[in-house]
Amino acid sequence: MRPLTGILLSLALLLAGCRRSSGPDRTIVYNCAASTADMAALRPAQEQFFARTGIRVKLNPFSGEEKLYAMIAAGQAPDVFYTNSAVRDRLAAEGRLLDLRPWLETDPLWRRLRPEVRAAAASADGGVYSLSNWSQTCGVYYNRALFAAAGIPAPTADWTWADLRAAAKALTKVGGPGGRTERYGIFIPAHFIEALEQMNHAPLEKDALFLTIPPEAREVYAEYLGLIRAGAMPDVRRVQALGMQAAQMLESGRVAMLVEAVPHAGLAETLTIDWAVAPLPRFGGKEPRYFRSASGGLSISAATKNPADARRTLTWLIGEAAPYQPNPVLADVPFVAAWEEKYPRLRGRGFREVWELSERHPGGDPRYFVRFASWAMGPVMSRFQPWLDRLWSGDATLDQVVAAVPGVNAGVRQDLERQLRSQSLRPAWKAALEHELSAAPK
Amino acid sequence: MKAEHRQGWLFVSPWVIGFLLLTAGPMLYSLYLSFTAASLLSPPEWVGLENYRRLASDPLFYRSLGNTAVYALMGVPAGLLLSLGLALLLNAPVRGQGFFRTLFFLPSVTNTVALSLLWLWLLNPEFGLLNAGLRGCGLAGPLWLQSEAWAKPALVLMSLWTAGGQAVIFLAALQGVPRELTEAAAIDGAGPVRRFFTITLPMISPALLFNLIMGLVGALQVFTSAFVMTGGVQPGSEGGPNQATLFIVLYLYKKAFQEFEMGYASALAWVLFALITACTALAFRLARERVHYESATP
Repeated sequence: MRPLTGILLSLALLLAGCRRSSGPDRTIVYNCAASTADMAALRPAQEQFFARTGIRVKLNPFSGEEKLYAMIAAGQAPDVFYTNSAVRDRLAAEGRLLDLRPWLETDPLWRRLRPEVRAAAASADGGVYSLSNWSQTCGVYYNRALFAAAGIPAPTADWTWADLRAAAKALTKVGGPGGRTERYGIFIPAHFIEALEQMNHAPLEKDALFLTIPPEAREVYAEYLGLIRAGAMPDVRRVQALGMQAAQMLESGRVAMLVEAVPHAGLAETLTIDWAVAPLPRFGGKEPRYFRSASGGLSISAATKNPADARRTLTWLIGEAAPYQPNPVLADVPFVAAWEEKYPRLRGRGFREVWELSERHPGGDPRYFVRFASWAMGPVMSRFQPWLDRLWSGDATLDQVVAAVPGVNAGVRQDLERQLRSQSLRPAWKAALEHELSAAPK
Repeated sequence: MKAEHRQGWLFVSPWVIGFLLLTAGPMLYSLYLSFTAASLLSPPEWVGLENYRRLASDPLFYRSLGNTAVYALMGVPAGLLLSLGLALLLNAPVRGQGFFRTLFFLPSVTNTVALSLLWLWLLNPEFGLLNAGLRGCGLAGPLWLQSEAWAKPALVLMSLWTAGGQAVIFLAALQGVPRELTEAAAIDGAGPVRRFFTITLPMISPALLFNLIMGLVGALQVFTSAFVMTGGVQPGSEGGPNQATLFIVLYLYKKAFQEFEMGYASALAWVLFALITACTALAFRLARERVHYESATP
């Protein structure tokens, strides 16, 4: 064989070897918002999924929402990614998310989801653009040893805000150098105030376009400030600083009680003190409405080249992938028992009671970034948050904050009317926003 | 075109092409976007001067403009003074001079995100080293980043950490001051302060102008530290307490990537560009009579 022929033959063979497989590309890119450890845990499950279905899930570490939006804008969106409630509808209205509704109508996954998860999934145009992959409530984590030492009975399902306030005051210990507080009775991160508003039966509209502060919410703000002024809770600005995690405060004994998410694997695994968790306190004789969140979830890009595999991946991530099981969004899973089995340290610490109460008295997710419509969340919060900052710093009174609401809403209306002028909004969304805006009082 | 010119263009062409494609092109495109209602997710719609008109009545724009101006007014002079002071110390003939120069220069080559995270701890009102030190002196430390009044000074304080970069430029200029001038002045009876103001300062004035302009440009574009340290977790909490650290670039970022208003953000970017150009031109104009260039002397 001549050398030239040999080289040409080798090249042809090489090219043939490099040729792409004639079958469809079954790789699904999943923008995975998880820690390194969680991603490592997902890898074996991913291999099993590939062996079973032939779908290769490529994990793309989540590196910021802004980057995700830029990828979507550039037409390089991952096939499956996490969206929070605040942007889900905006992305959907611009035609960037796949409507899962036609598929879900016949898929068993939809029937497996808990009612609040199905309710949270519905968008203003009737479509379903994301499915929650997690659900939680919140409770009062407390240091049992401190309660016992102070002779305060452990909180029960019937305890009230007055009980909590009294316990917080009794557990506060002043006596550090210069009269410093050595231990605060409680710390409630500011983003849980909305859960207390709900317990006090503040009427909180879902998908609201405008800000309201009903009297019940006002009462809660006053109580919250009261705890700080009484010295039973640290100044919210001091502990909102990054670097001071609320859990460390409980662990180190700087606070005796802490309001946090339930379940919270991190807390369960790291706390070394004698702790337990209690449900949120009731407000007077009012029936409880516990915080239940199914906000945010997994969406499929409208630009995915393989919707069937993307949907199968979504089903796997929510209902099957081992690291995410037992998943509280599924109604057919004995969540509490399975979770206690996964985290045995939870047994006998009140987790079961808190979770079951929240299932019996679900109040939904009252957080600002959930209850405001996707269109209004940014305009509302960019105007309202500075007022909250002034409230915390004592530069504004509660009355002034309430009086500022009409001004906040006037600005929000301007922003919404400008959004309505956008020609890129799909008609169904435009009509929905127009309708809501015209129905809202000026 | 002469062969020499062609070769010259050929040699600089990688940079020119890179500049046209990656800098000038996007800049011109952003100028176009500033006249549109471009969303990050949808094609631009021409709206003429609407974005600029909106800017004129946007309270948050004025807030961010004011914040940026205050930050620059505090940070630029403080940075110049500190770096000049450092350069004077580093210019002194002491043992271990090389070590000290490296020590002071190091923070300026450290990643700003890493520095910001470090300073988040230092400035923590409860457990930060700064407040611990103040408590040791019997003083109650402020809330720093959590306080509307202290958030900007806290960021200025952090920016001073990187004064070593400017100090190196001052140091190079100081070493170029002819020794015979200071010696002659000393023989004529001029004390150290007089020698500094009448000889050293005029001789290093080009470096001063350079550092002033670079400091000004950097201060007007402050972003990373504000984003990392006061970016906020909750929607609406960007820019620190009561938006005290909502600087122009942070506001621009929020508009572009969180609210998807790319057209409006582009208009903000061009206003900032105009502002920086105006400030630089003003600095040059004010410096015309005050900066001494050795080569210009007869």
